[in-house]
This record gives sequence, C-alpha cells and structure tokens, in this order.
Amino acid sequence: MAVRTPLFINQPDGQVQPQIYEMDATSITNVHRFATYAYGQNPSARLEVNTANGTLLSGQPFVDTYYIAGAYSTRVDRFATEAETANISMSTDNYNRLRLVHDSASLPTGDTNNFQYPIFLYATSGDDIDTHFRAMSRTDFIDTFVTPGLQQMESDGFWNGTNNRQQNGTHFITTSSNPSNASLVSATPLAINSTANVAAYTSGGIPETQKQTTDVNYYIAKVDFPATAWEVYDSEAGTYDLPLYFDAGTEQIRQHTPTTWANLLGPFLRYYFRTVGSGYYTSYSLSSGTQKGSTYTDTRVVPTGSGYTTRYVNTDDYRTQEFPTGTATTVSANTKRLYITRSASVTETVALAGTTSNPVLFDSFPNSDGDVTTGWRFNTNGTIDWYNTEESPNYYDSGSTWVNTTPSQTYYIRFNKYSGTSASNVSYGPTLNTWQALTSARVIRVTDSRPAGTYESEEAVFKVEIASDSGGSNILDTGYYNTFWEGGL
Amino acid sequence: MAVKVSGTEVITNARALEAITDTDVTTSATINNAIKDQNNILRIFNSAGTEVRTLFCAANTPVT
Repeated sequence: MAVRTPLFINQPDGQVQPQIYEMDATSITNVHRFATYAYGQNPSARLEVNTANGTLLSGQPFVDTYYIAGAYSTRVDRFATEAETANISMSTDNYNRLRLVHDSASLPTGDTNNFQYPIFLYATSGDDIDTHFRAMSRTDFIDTFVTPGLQQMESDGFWNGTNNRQQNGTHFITTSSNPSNASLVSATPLAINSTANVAAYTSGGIPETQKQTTDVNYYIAKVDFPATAWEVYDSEAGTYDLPLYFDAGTEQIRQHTPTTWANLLGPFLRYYFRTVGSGYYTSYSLSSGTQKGSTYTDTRVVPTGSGYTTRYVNTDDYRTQEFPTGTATTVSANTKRLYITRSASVTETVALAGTTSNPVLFDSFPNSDGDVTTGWRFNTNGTIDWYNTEESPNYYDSGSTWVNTTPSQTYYIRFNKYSGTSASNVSYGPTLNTWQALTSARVIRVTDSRPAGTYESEEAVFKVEIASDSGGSNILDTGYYNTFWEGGL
Repeated sequence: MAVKVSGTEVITNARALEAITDTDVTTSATINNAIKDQNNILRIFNSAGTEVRTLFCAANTPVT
C-alpha cells in the first residue's frame, strides 16, 4: 500500500483540448477537503426526530411551559366575581423526540473487478519502461484518500461547532424551517417553545380560546452544502477535478462525479465516524462537547395580575374570563444545548498489507551499476520506508504503516524471502527467519552484485510477519512486500 | 503522374493518398501493424497488476 498520485482531466490555458494530468499537491489537497462533502451525503453519526431508529438522546425531555387562559363564565344576572372565574393555569409540554443514530458500518474490503479505485501512472519493468495506467489497490486508496481525507477534515475543523461546509454532515439546532446550506432531518420540530400571546386575549372575544401562544419551533438540521461549494469544482468548465478511474464495464477511462466519489469514499468515512477506537468516533450530547446551533430556550410570561376580564353581551349574558398577563422571561432551568463530541482515542492495531498474488508495490526501479540494493525498513514509530541505493537519502517514507498509532508495546517482526532470483551474488537480508524486536528499525533488503548489463529486470517479494511475542506464537498479521531493480541488459 | 480510379484521383502527384473510402482486410492489418511498430504503448493494469488493455498509439517521431 502506498500514496499514489491520482490523475484528472485538465485543460490549462493555451491547450486546445483537455488532457490527462497527474494532480499536483493543491489539487490533491482539494480532493482531501472534498471528503467532507462525501461524508455529508450519508453520515453514519446522526440525529433523527420522532423515529424508531437509534436511541433516545440522554438529557431529554425538552420542557416547554406557558400560561393559558382559564375557562370562561357566563351568568344571566351579573358578572361572576374574580374568585368565581377560573384562574389562568400553567401548561407543560415535554418533548422526547431526539434520537441518536450510529449506523452499522464496516470498513469496505472489496475491489470489484480489481478496478474499483482510481488509476495512477505506473511504470513497468522490462525493456520498454513506459508510463502506463494502473488501478489503485484498496490499501493504496486508503493511504491516498481515506487517511489524508480524515486528517484534512480534522485540520479544517470538522468538530469546531460552526455550520460551514467544513462541517458538512454534522447536525445542529435551528429555528429556521428552511436553513441555508442545510436540510432539516424532519419537518417535525425537535421541540416547541410556546409563550402566551397576551395581546391576543380581548374582552370582546370572550370566550377566548384558552391556549393562544406565540410559538418558536426548534428543528434539527444537517449541514448540507452543494458540491459546487468546494475547490474541486471548476466553475469555468462546470466540471469537477476529481480522480480518473477505469470503468471495467464500459472499458472507458472516466472521471468521478461528486456522486460516484461520495459512493466510493463515503463508506470508508462512515466506518471511522461511527467506530469507537478509530480516532474519529463522533457523537452528540445534550450535556457537554462543542455546541451546535441554537440554544433551546423556554420562555413564559410572568403574570402581573389575575387577568380578570368582563364582557357584557346582553341582559342574560354576563361573561368573565381570566387571561395571561405580563412579559416573557426565560426559564433557565429548561435551557438546552446540542453538542457534538469526538473521541480521538485509537485502538492500536497491527496491519500489514499485500498478498502473495498482489504484494505491496515498491516505488521505483533502481538501476544496477554493478551493485544495487533495494528493500524496506519497518520503523519503531509504525511507519514503513522504502530503501533504494539511487535515492538520497536512501530511506524514504512509503506512506504505509505497520501499526495505526505509536506502538504502546514491543512487537516482533520476521522476514523471509517469498520469491526472487537465486542467482549467485544476490543476497537477501540482513536477517531472515528470525524474530526481531521492533524496538529498533528493522530492514529487509536484496543486494545484487552481478555486473551491470548482465541481466534484465528482477523482482523479489518478501514475506513479513509481526507478532506480539518474541517466539512468534501470536502472529498478529502477515504481509507481502516487493521490490524491483534493473540489471541494464 | 497521379493515379485515378474511375476518374477520381486516389494518389496525387505529391504522392498523397486521397478519397480512399475503405480498406480491405490486408490493408487494415498493414495499417494496424504500422501503428504497432511505433511501439508507443499505453497499458492499463488492474489493481492486481494484470494488464487488461493494450493501446498502440501513433508516435511524435515515427519509427522507420
């Protein structure tokens, strides 16, 4: 597995037609930023209102209190006294509608037709070392788009509480039934704050409807920006600078659209955002975290009197009713806020890559000058380097890792030659078939000392195993890593 | 001297082909092989490294 340079369609100024280009660093970063769009199409950590999914979010109900008028009285002889007229009363509505959902999501493992992932420029060995196209492997895709996409989302402030495109897919409270760059998860309010509408009660209207309130609806919305809001959108061309892929069905090279890109990348992101220990587990709370959206506030009038009101209709109809009075104030005890939370803890996991039929690719083809050495180095911090005598420095980051976080314990690694030439003057090592503690960086290399120009290209594959004990009785994972070199013949 | 077929010039005095409306199997193969001989190849590999398409293209500097 490795970081690859994706391809896209580009037409720089002066070019007659669009051509296929490798993405530069800026374009790649823009694709990483677009991960937020992809996740937002189908977030795996989300809120719903009044459904049967997930669990009721702890900390409810949302409480709404408000005064209503008393029942009216009518007499034929006189007005009922204030004491005889029903008092105003306080009503309470409790809302338990907010549900937290973490969808079931597993890390995708497939590679349909071996062409599921984008293509990159690939150099083959042999006499005609041309530049060709090759589809990324699943682990290439993770190294190139998933991991950096998650890191970009973190860097751009996905959990910072605002509701911009960098927070696409997160949820928030709003009092708008049509929030901009967002979509309501339900037309049903999360809760309603009703406050007596004092001005609505009039003498001439007795009998007045008892409940007459001014309502503020609180909704749950999801941040939902259009794809055109991201840098990948080329507004001049009306297209998106997204990676190319080989469509195995039509045998055409095509460029991803926002929809197809979201369908490809989204399932990986969904796994990380809903999995404890992934480093990106996301949830919502009513008690702590980073606030998202409006604060729910319960307001009610504070009565300044009984609100006793009379209405003479005729000599047989003397009416009275008591109305809510006063001005609205906040009931602090009922205030609620929605928070987004993230658990950055990572479950330490050893994970090698490559199979016997599809080993992890080496980066380049060093050429022999009579002595060539290539290989891999497994570092104590979990990273993996390539080794190439032609590069300076000889070791350089492959973008791959053997563990997903800084190791908290001692692991042990064992190397063996899986395949490769057995010619004399070709050696593999320095240490084969021996468990070595990864408290120091460990190297597996092949050195070919045959004279240059006496052989063609060569390939070797190493079998790599990592165990949790020095005897290798508990092997955690096995991988296969290859290397190439050119003899010059 | 130009070459005509049924009154239509098909090879000009400048030795250019003109008005060729079709090719037979032999000629198609000849043209195809001439392109292949340029050895300007784009290969498409799947993620397992298996070559699935081979595209032979014209070259900027033709191979003679």
